[in-house]
Amino acid sequence: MSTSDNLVEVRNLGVLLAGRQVIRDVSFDIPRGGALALVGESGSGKTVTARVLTGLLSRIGGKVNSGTATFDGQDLVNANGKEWRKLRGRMVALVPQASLSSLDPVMRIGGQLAETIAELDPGADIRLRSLELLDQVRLPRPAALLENYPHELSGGMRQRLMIALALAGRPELIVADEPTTALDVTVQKDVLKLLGDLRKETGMSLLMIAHDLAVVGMVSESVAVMRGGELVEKGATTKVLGDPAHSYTKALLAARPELAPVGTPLAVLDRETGELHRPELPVLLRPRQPEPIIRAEAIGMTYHNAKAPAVHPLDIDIAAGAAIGIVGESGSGKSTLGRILVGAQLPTEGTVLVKGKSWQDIRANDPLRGAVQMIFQDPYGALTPWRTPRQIVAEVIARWQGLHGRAALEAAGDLLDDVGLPLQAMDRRPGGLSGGQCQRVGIARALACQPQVLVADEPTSSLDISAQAQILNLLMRLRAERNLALVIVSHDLAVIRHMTDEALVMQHGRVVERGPSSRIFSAPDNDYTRQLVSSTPTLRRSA
Amino acid sequence: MTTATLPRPFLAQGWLRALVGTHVSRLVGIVMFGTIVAMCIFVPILSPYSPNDFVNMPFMAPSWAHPFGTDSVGRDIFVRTFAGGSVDLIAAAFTTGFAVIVGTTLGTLAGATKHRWADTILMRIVDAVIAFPLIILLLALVVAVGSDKPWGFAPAGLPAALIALMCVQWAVYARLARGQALALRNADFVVASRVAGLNPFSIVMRHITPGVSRITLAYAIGDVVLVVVILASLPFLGAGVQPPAPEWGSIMYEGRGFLRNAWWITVMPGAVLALTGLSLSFIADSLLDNRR
Repeated sequence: MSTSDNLVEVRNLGVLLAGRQVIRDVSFDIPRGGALALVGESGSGKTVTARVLTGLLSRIGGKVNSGTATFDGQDLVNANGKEWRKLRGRMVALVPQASLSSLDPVMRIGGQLAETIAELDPGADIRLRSLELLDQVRLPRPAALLENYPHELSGGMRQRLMIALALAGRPELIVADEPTTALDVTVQKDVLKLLGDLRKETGMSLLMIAHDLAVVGMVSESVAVMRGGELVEKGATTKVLGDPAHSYTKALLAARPELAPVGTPLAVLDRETGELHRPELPVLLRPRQPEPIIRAEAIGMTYHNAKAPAVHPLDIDIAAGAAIGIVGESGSGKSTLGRILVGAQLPTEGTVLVKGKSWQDIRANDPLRGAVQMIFQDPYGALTPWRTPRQIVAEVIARWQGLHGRAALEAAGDLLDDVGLPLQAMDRRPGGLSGGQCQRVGIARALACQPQVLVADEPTSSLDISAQAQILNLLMRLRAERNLALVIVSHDLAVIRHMTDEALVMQHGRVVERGPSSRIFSAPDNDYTRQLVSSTPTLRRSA
Repeated sequence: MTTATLPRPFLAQGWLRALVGTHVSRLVGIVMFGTIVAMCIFVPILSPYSPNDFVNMPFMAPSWAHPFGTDSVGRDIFVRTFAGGSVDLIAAAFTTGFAVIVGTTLGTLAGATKHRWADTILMRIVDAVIAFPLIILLLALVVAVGSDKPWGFAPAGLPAALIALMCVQWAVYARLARGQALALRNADFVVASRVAGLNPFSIVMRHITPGVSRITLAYAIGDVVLVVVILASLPFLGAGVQPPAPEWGSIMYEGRGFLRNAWWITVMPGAVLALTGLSLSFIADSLLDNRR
């Protein structure tokens, strides 16, 4: 037993994975009862670091080649299977976003708790301990809940149940890898608050892995920022977020839309110089056009066999140069609405008129088909995996711009260059590109149709924060240069607020509030909007 | 603006490396299968004997002069095996190729079309074809086509078997292709192509068919073995390639009475067949395993 104040000590850790040094010289401590958040973008090494601590590094073929990592004085780098089994329960990994697949669908809640308690806390009265755990995670009516199956619980309840299972062995450390990434903001807030409360009650320590700096502020008093396998900055959360020392941390913060004045370009880190720079935006010329490009009248959607409509009838007009946001949580109908507007899906009620013509009457070769284009949430899924960016864009150019063969390929190259895709990425399959690069290709394909309206469904939610800033900058520039109307569908209030003039807030297929974005997010009228705004983790610019 | 360079020509992209990739099993499979094919081509040409010559004493055990031994009338089994291999492999490649092309085309169209009734009709036909017993069809065809005289290059008995296989085999591919096409038609990249106004035919050809055919082709390579095994088992039913033409099944069939004292007549062609199957499964597995 160590008498050190630190539960976890990591010194000069280096990890080799697939022949590459993915972690270099990383050192940090987690005090008993304390918390640390490891923050970084994809590829920063934060998850690999967590794997060293949970003993799962060898599963992905990684190897510690320098430094030490200890838990309560016990060496983790060279621990064998038997030693790891003893540590299980004292130190648990938590993955609440996979709650449905991690719970046994044919076993009652009581049974799953009993199994875990028997393993991790032998000798405990199983029923008493089960009720205690459910109570600890604030699940209502614990006794009745023991008889339920996982599918009978709501998403938020399942996350609590996962946390209860993690607590069964009275852990001293919880390692939470992106615990709230796939969750809706209202649920995310609950989970984060619960983790914070549990720390206070039980005195356990927390290591949280996150890509979102704002989330970190809600649970952890200290933070370590990682980049490319190195720890670039660590310190108290308030200090790091309020007054960052390292240029990379500054860049991460500057890339956040909520910290920049609305509608202005976001700062981007120049990879070569390491300097922050804000791209110039052309001045927005917006001749007001009385006649909207898209006029949607009483459009509604009810899926076959569904009990309630996915979208209740609503009206939207979209004029040239407009920027409209559609906000909501999962299942709110916002994506369905987006797909109806671009004509990827026909509404079951009402019609969408594009310059007076219904989607139903617009054939594939109608110029109006090109007028409304779409950007997808999954940048990889939106690109045909066996075709290169140049082929994908050239095909669309050939369709709409009367260029063929070599000329179309050259025009595609110019367009891809305009959206900022590096030359060497143009002839690679999408599988070899980054998410941000794929998203640029998707945007270039849309531009190849010479559209007037661009509907973007969660265009940045699967991107890192710096890639998000670049894509948002690109969309702002295109809007200004081409007088494009933007419709942005997103769960992220900060993005909507930054990018749009007008917003619709959706819940359960209904528009609960609409109006100017600036007003909606500063002074919401509706209860649900207010709840969304207050749940969203944000960073305020410190004075 | 930069004038971006155009894609490099096909060969410059290292097609050999693209073919083999990083899969050891694919490389092993290709080398094994290539060796077998090469022997099927060259052994009959280079050998001093022809497959139907009586070259030595009957029932000679494998030796340097006759690596696979001789059969009950003194023919060289090594030569017969590799001469017969081309019959099996060409026949299997032919029927499977036909099945893949027809099945993939029909299945992709059925899965991708917006006329769902066409899909329903085609799939019911596929169900019926798959439910029909192959052996019965085959025996009926043997009676109808006859198995006593050769058709052009095809030895006697082979045409009936080929027709039977072609009637049945495509249905499996149609079903496989249709399922894959159904999944792809709602993929984001297909929706994106539709939204971008590409014409429906080119969406099917460029954005759906390659995804479908990479699955059906991989399946087909594994299926070649199945066809070889079916062809090789037909002589045991009195159908299939008729003696004296060499073919793996007919050689093994002739040897079945002498297993106790001349095992090589049956085992040697059987072993070559097994190695062919193994090499093709290596290749097929590695193709299906091809993550993007």
